[in-house]
Amino acid sequence: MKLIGAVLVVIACTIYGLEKAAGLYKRRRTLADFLDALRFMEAELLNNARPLPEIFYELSCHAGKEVKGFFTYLAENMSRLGEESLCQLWCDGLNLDRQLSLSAIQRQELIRPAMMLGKFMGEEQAKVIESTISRLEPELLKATEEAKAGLRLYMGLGLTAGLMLAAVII
Amino acid sequence: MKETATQEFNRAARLLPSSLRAAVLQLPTAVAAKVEEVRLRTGQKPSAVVGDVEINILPEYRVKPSDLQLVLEIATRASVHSYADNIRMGFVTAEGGCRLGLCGTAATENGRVTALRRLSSLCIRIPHEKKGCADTVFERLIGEGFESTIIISPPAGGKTTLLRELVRKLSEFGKRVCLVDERNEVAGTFEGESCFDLGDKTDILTGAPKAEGVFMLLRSMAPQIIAFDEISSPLDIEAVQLSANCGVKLLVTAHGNGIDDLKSRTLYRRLLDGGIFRRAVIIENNEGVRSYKVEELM
Repeated sequence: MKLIGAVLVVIACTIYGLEKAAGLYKRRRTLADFLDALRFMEAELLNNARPLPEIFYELSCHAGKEVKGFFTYLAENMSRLGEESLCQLWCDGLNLDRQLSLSAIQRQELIRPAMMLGKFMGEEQAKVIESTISRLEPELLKATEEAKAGLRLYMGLGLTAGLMLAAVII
Repeated sequence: MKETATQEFNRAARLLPSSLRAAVLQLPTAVAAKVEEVRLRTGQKPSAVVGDVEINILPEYRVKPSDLQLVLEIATRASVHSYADNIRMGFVTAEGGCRLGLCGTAATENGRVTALRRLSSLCIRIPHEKKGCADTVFERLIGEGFESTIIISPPAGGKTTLLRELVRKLSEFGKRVCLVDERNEVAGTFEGESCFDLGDKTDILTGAPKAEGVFMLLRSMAPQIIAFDEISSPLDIEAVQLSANCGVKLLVTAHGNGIDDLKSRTLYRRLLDGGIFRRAVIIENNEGVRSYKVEELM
């Protein structure tokens, strides 16, 4: 019985460690999805053709899993323009969506293009998005490194803690 | 009629930021129904144009630059870039055919306006659909068969309203009418559907310059009548001549106080002397009451 209990503790601790590491991978995926979405927006804006509600709608259908909710929020709330500005909607979307795994700095970087979105010509908006992309790319690299290191660290910590607890139990 | 005018006013009010909209919607219905334009100027009181008079509608309020920015954002659905060509020309047509005239600092490149920055004032022109206003004119125009017709009045005299109504009546009369709506002011097309009733046999080409639009329609839609608003440039004259040469009847508008006034200007003289138009409808405005006079030109 004690042995079974000890094995379960080791498994539980290892899973806890893996979950913590998965959180770091989620941030990496969120950043990667945001970068893909921003690149799509940049390309669309350079064509000067499609209005933002259509771009948001398309992203709400086809963007990566982690950022779909954010673009769905924007697409659904464009009818509130007049009550709120697009800048406010964009910031609300970033701040209210707790599912978005982003650091404070990353959120701040993503808020930056909101000041320009929809107010200027396509090329000018695309430049701001390009600058946001260039600031977020190093964040993605950092997040990837952190996720790799975190996986080893948390799994090791989880396993070690599990083994120690198991030793105490036995 | 009054109810429609109020609806049109409410539609225009939706373009205003919520703080301003609430106050504007408090205007008495009788006044709201007569408003032709809402004007916002940075640092000044918002005003409404009723007939020839501009009245302050919110004496305590001073328009802020952010108000103008927000109106533009609402009108363009936060997509100024999609309206780049129009903004370069100083206007945006919003949902419902409301036309926003824009003033601000023009950004130029090689002597051409590329964008408008720092909006300083803005004019929301409210389009009116007045079914029945053209009944008597229409009878005169189709009496002996429809002939090419030019509608003449000074700016804000009701040309577009009359054109819209005549297009609808001609379409319902069975004519295949093609409308070149360069500024989307006549049809107020939004997502492919006209906000105004233009009849079930009317084809609408939105956004194309008149000359190019006429050519496109002649090639593809086999129109019996081509209609467009405001002849104002030599290219527009070319569009008229092109249509006439193809045997298509025309229904167009021009700024002016009458035929003599139009003939005094080189641009129009060539057009009128060419004998393309057989009839003219002159809109007269007597203290806010509009009347229409049909004149035979030949």
